[in-house]
Amino acid sequence: MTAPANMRVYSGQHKAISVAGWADNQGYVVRFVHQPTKHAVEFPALISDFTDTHSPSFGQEHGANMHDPVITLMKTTRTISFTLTVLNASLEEARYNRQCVNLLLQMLYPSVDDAGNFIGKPFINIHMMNLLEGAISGEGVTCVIEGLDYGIKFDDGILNANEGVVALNRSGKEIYPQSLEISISAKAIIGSNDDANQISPLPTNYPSYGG
Amino acid sequence: MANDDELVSEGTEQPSWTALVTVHQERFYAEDGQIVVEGQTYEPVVNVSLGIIGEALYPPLQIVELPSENTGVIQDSPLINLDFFMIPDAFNETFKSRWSAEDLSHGRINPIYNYGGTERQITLSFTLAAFTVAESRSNLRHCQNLARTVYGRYRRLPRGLEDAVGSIAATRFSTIFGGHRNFKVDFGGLIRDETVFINKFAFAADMDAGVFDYSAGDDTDVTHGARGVILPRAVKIEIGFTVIHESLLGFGGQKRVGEPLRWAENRKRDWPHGTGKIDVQEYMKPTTDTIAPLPTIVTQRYTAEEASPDFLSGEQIQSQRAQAVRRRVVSEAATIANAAATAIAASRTPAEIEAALTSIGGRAIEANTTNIGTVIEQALANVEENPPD
Repeated sequence: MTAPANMRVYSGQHKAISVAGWADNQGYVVRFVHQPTKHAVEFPALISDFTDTHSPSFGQEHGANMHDPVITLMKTTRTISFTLTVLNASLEEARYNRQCVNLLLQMLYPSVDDAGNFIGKPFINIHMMNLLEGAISGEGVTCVIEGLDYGIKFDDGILNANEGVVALNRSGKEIYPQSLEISISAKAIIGSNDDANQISPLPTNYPSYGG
Repeated sequence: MANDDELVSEGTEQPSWTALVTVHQERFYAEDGQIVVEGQTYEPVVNVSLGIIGEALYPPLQIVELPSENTGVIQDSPLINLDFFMIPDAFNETFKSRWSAEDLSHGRINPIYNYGGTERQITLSFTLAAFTVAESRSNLRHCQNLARTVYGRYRRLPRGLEDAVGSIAATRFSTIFGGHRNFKVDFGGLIRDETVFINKFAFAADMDAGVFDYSAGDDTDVTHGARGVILPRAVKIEIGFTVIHESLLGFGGQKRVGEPLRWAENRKRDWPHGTGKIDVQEYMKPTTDTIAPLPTIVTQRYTAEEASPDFLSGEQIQSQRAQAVRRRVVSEAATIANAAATAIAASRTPAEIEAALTSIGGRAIEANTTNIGTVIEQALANVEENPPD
């Protein structure tokens, strides 16, 4: 049986001219782990529009001769959204990054049994430096990804490596943008506290931004 | 690099570009405004800008309509079949997962999430540019064909009209709605021979890019002779596809028995986008295609007796059923004959009646038919003509 894939940030021969080199140097990496299979993929963390919203919802009751309602906290949900930009500095990197993006897209699908039934829900653990970190250092926040948008703006340029794009079209109909954007919106699943001495079921350091 | 003004010439000005490209296995080159194909002047000039810009940089967009799966119907129009180069502006692909959350008691940290599936939609925006009048007309033809893709299919269903004796006297055609059209779409490594239905088509004439003007006389490369017709130099198209996947998506599955971490498709290719010359990752590599047996589907229900341990084969059941039918026919024939014979019984002896019923029963078994009335009438007529002793 095959082992889970672990696709790290590009480290091929063009790493020096790639954003991958800078990301590796700085430790700016975003990592996705598919929970049912433990397949993992990493990208240089070119992140924009990052938002992490914690939304409490309350039940309200209004009584007679009362100005203010009686508030009951129902639940608190956490939604995360961000845009990840993937840059390709060479044809080799473009092909590798496409495989990485393919794996990320595949993570939106479940694991299935021999009869075709969905058995493993596609929960995805996202780790983004100190901005998205779980209770254990180095682990991310497990999320339910409801929507993922994959976008290419051709005006930003397409890849024309030494082989030339015309040659690519003849051989394999490959087409690689110099940059592409992946927008993700997700709901976080809050990890539970396994420490029996703690009263709160929330992890002690939850939520954490590394402060 | 050439600027925009050089790429799109104004008015009757001759374009200043020079290029050498290959379009549909024919060699085109443009020099000083004249397009030459294999040493001969080529008119009308179509696919020049797309040949130079589109094909040189991007793969073609291919959209092929799939024929209706319904048989015995007549299509209302030819199938749509498009294969052309364009200049893509944007490619967006949306993966939308269906999750439902069940909220439980207060204070519970997380709801229970149930997963329902993941849908995939693609939106492609592109420009169809025209260097010449003929190319502009060609672009508009592409657009009208593309616009047809979002309209439903209508079919003519032949229906036979019966005359008084039940034979087909005439055929009348009914027009019925045949639903949406399905297509196969291919666009390089981004859309690879996917089955889709088209959920959006938007057309915009880019007036800022200019139009080809009217000039009395025949069409030239830069003027047209149809007064009141507008031929834009560029049109912008946005088209949306909803992908219908033909194989199971996920990890594991029927084609990956014992390999739950491998991608279910089990083909030596990446998914969803192609990666050309490099090898696929280990988890994508094909394995022996050991397809798990499909679950048994019960298509026929049996009676409790048939489902008993003394279960009979299909042939035996058929035989038993045939015998049961025969018994029922004889019984019904006798009943009906008895009732019918009552009218003539007064003038018949008991022996005559018995003979009639015997004859009816025998004929009913021979005929093995439900048309018992005819058999009875014939049998009684025989009794009347040849009364038994």
